[in-house]
Amino acid sequence: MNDNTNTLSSGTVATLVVDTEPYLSCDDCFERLDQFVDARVADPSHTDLEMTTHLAGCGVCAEEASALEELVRIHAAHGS
Amino acid sequence: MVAVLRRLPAFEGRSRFTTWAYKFAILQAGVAVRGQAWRNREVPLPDTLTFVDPSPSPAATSEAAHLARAVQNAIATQLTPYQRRVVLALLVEEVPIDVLAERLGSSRNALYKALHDARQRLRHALVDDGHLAAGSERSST
Repeated sequence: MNDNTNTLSSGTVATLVVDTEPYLSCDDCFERLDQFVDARVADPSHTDLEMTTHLAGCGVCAEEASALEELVRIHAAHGS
Repeated sequence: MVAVLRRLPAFEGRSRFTTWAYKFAILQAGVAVRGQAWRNREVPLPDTLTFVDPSPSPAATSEAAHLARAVQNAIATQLTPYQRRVVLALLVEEVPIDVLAERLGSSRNALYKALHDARQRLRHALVDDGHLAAGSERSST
């Protein structure tokens, strides 16, 4: 048994108990990511409960979504 | 580029082609950067934790401490050993999910499913004990 202990901050508590229903897998999130980002760039009020829920619960997918959205916005700003 | 060309038949036109192509580039870049960052690091896999609350006020400390202790207890009692190690590695040690998948010989999907199931167990336990209101803690992005 591992004897290591780790601190649990109140911020981490929030990530531990965040509701990730409805469930969406990382693969399905990636599959839908381009459509989701294009929709958000075109309309900032665009919502997709499954996508936003997954991104709230998966740090790496959220990083990738953020990077893609930034790249798409830069691309759009340069008129390409 | 090769990765995008290989997947070209899968493009269905539901997004801009550039957005679809960028997606694969970001994935590959992210995997490479995270892999490099963790290449020579041991991936911690703790199975216990303690709570430290930095809140300044006694009331905030008390409320936050109650919830954190309840979460700590739920982690220790409600999760399988595997779920506990995944939860602590991903959310407390902040190991990237693809790095952890590679180290455990698992997949991103499998780890996220384990994390999802663990969160549901924690939430049910906390709702049952009255520490969490049903339907709370949905983060909006």
